[in-house]
Amino acid sequence: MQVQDTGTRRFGIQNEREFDATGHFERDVDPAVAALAPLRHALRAWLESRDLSARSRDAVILATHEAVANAIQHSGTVSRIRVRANAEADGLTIEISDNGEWRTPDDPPSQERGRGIALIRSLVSNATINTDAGGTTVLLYQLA
Amino acid sequence: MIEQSVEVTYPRPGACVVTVYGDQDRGSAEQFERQLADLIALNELVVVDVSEADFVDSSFLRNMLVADRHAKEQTKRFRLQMGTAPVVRRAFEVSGVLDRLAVMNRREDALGDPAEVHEHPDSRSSGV
Repeated sequence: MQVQDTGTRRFGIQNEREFDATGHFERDVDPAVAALAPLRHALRAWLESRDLSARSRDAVILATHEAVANAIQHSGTVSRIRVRANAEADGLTIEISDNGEWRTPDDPPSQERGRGIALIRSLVSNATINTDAGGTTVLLYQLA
Repeated sequence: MIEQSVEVTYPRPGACVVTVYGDQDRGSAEQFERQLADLIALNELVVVDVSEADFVDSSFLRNMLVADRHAKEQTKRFRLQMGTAPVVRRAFEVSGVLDRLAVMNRREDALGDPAEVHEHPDSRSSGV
């Protein structure tokens, strides 16, 4: 039987979990504003181990925070919100997904509110938002 | 340990400085909005100093715009004292909020006489 070589042994890494611990970030977040600060701090700790400028790191943290905060405030989900980040060759991808149903705000967007999405788009290299019956996924990409 | 705190000082009658520390996000936004509204009602000049803040999100930015509107409606003065934390400045910049407020870098400027204060140039050109 042929054994697939993942390449991790070349770097002295003993198992996939260890490798994942450096290249992958996962956290399921309670849908409560109190969960935002611990998420930011955990994400910061992981990002500080990456080869990323402080400017990009801060942008990713704020954009991720805003995406999760939007899910908490507008999706109505009672389930945890999934945050998954992957370090890739030229940057980072961050996926924030909920299984709620986003509510349309009662008030129309104004100069004072509704800045979260615009802020996300201004901070990262690319941001897409996909909504279907199963929920909403925000995909962020940040060049290194 | 996450800290969210606000300190209010009164350098002279009718003027107050609200210094925010640490992380300012949705967890404290509603309370801070009410606090700012009360301070604007009771003072002629309110300065929010973000130089000690480590993080602000869109809810904090919104509160700055709401406070600025309240101040204008009451012919009061609302000013932002900008700090040096890059992430805080960037949040204000990319959101466009920085362009809409009277922004000073030094406390003495923030507390200065309105006629003598040079406001952020973009705050005059925003048309707001």
